[in-house]
Amino acid sequence: MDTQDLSIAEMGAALRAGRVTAESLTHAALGRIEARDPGLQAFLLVTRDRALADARAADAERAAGRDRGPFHGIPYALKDIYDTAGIRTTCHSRLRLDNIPAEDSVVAAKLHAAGGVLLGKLATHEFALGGPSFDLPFPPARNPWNPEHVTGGSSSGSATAIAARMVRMAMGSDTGGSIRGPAAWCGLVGIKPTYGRVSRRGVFPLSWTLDHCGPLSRSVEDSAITLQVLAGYDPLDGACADVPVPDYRADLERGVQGLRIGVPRAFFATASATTPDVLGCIDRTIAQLRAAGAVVEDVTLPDYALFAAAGRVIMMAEAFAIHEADMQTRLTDFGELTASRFVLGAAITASDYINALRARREATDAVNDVLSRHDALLTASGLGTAPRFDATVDNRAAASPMQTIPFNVTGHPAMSVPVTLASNGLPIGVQVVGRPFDEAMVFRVGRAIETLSGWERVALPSFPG
Amino acid sequence: MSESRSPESLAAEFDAFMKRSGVTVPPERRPVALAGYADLLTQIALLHGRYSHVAEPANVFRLQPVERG
Repeated sequence: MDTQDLSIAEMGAALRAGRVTAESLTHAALGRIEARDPGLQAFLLVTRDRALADARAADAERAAGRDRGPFHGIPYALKDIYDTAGIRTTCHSRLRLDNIPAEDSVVAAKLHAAGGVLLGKLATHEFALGGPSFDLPFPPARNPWNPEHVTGGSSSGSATAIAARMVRMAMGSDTGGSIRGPAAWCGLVGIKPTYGRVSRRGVFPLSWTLDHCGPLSRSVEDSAITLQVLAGYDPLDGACADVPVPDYRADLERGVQGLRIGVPRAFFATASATTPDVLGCIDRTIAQLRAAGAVVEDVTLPDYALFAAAGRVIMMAEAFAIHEADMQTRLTDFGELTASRFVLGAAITASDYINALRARREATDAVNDVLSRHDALLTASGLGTAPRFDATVDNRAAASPMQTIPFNVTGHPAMSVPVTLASNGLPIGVQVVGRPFDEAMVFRVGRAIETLSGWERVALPSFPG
Repeated sequence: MSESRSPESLAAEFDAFMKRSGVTVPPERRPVALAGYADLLTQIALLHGRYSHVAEPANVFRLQPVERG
């Protein structure tokens, strides 16, 4: 049995049955990291001693009759923008190479309290923007499906580590698609929960009003189990919402019979960069959902360009405010791509920003209106598959081939689910969007797509070791 | 917006913003930043002239709970 292929639920069952220990799971994961990471560069730091200590503590607790729940003894890793007490947290940047936080982020603390085993800190694009870049203190993570291709960003190391089966779940963050993009391009599930569902406290901000914390994983169920650990009110995060958290696995297998699903087709159908593979895969998914009993129909939302413009203006203005002092005094310590994007925030006027916020209200109202008549939306995650590294070196305009930023602007929960391999052998995902705080419906529809698409039978990339 | 502007005009405007913000962009990094600025202006143009005075921004608080449809 390759324990790296067990789902989180299966690992939990094996732990409870005594077939494996948290320490054996951790040794297997550390061995896999040692074998595969040198060529893929997912990890900035492997916390071997901490991982073994976490694992032994989990085993000792279980032996003593204490069970902390489904995450007890499960290995995981964190994008290196999540503060970890006593463990270096760099944001993949020269500016924070010596940063050792005093406290855990809320997410790190919750995963630790749930009995998780921290394997290490993962590559990102610098400050969760920019990238992929080769002028940073660490190299960019590579796509396990083809290391000549990018992972998507910015949760790059998170996606690499999971797709290469080093770890089953890793935390990402999503300001314009940084969970869902790498998930789509690496054949994974990635959920951006509703804005306010998961505390952002202790996570280095890119854009306060667009940032979301969420997991990447191999399956919808893995993501549901993880979000169950993370979701909940944090009174010290001003944006966190005091909204009840349901059982995310309760309806996972209910299917889509009778559900109404809207498709904002113009988002992707009118984009010049959309590939035939993506169009075909959306149409196949629609046909499968209809065959399973869902009512699927096209819906109209404001132009994608409006969402994208609002998102970029908000992101750049807020990011510049965060980094203003460093941009004034040590701009050349940033990577070139990161700096070239952050400086744009200095050129955004108050009127630009406020009009972006007016567009945010228009967009949010429009999505809420459509979702008052539909249980969920289905759209593309990206317009194509992961490009080669050498096709991204001139990517200076921040134009994104993703379709993810609208739901950072509006705050709705959104998840990328892998469905197939394109003709070039790289993964494609589709995106499911739900009503505010209705992640349970997003999981339910996502789980149906995961099953109907046959993705569970697609073999992940193989490696020696 | 930016299509009708000369490169020199765009560069002068960009430089003015950088000066006001206290940011010095090294010459070797300037072309990339300028290209990004031109692209950003095309997106900013989509946001202006769209709304009347009754359209409020998203940071005007709504006191009712989140709408659930």
